[in-house]
Amino acid sequence: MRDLMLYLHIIAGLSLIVFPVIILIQDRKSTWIRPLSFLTASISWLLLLPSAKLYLTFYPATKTLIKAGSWPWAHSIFMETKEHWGLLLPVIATTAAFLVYSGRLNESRKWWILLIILAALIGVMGRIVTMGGTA
Amino acid sequence: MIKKFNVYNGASAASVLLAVLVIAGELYAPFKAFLASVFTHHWVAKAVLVMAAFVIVGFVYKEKKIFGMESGKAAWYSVLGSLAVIFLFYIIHYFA
Repeated sequence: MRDLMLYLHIIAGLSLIVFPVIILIQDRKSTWIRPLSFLTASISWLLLLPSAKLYLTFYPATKTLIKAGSWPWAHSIFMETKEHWGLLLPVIATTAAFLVYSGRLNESRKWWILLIILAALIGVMGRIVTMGGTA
Repeated sequence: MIKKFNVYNGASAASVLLAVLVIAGELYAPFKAFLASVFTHHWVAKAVLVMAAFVIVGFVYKEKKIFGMESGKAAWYSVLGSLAVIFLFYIIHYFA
């Protein structure tokens, strides 16, 4: 169960980087932009489910290890930040997709770029937290 | 549907609320415990309240300005500000 949730979490997180990149490099007249935008926003909401399962069920044991280890800041700073930044992913993705659907493609670009950067930073923080569990 | 929803106002409200909930919960433990008692976990509480704020404010508040600032600009700075405040808060909170 943990591995399944972890894979879903990672795949969904990566798709929030890859899909916006594809959207940004599409021609403005591409018929792919709208469905891809909808898909990306949908994934950003669905991502909350494996995130919640991992965080609420499996993370407490890891948290104990991290706080007892030599990298307690990995939880106190990076995990705390990551778990809350993640709540803004659906807000940002939905805002970007909404702008696409309302014909404001240029306005949507900076929101897609923010989504890419934020998802990537959250991934890096996740790696730091994982390393904190063995430090 | 699209015309009835102001996504920028929803994003502004959600991001500001998230920063407020994070800081209030860390600085005042009973508030965090209250959130956990109502929603089973403080993180679930924040998720539900932030998403509710996004949807409700987006539908209810349709003005093109927030405190005199154009909605799109307000949403952009609210989201960036919220992200920065949350990260800086946890750094300060750890070392304080």
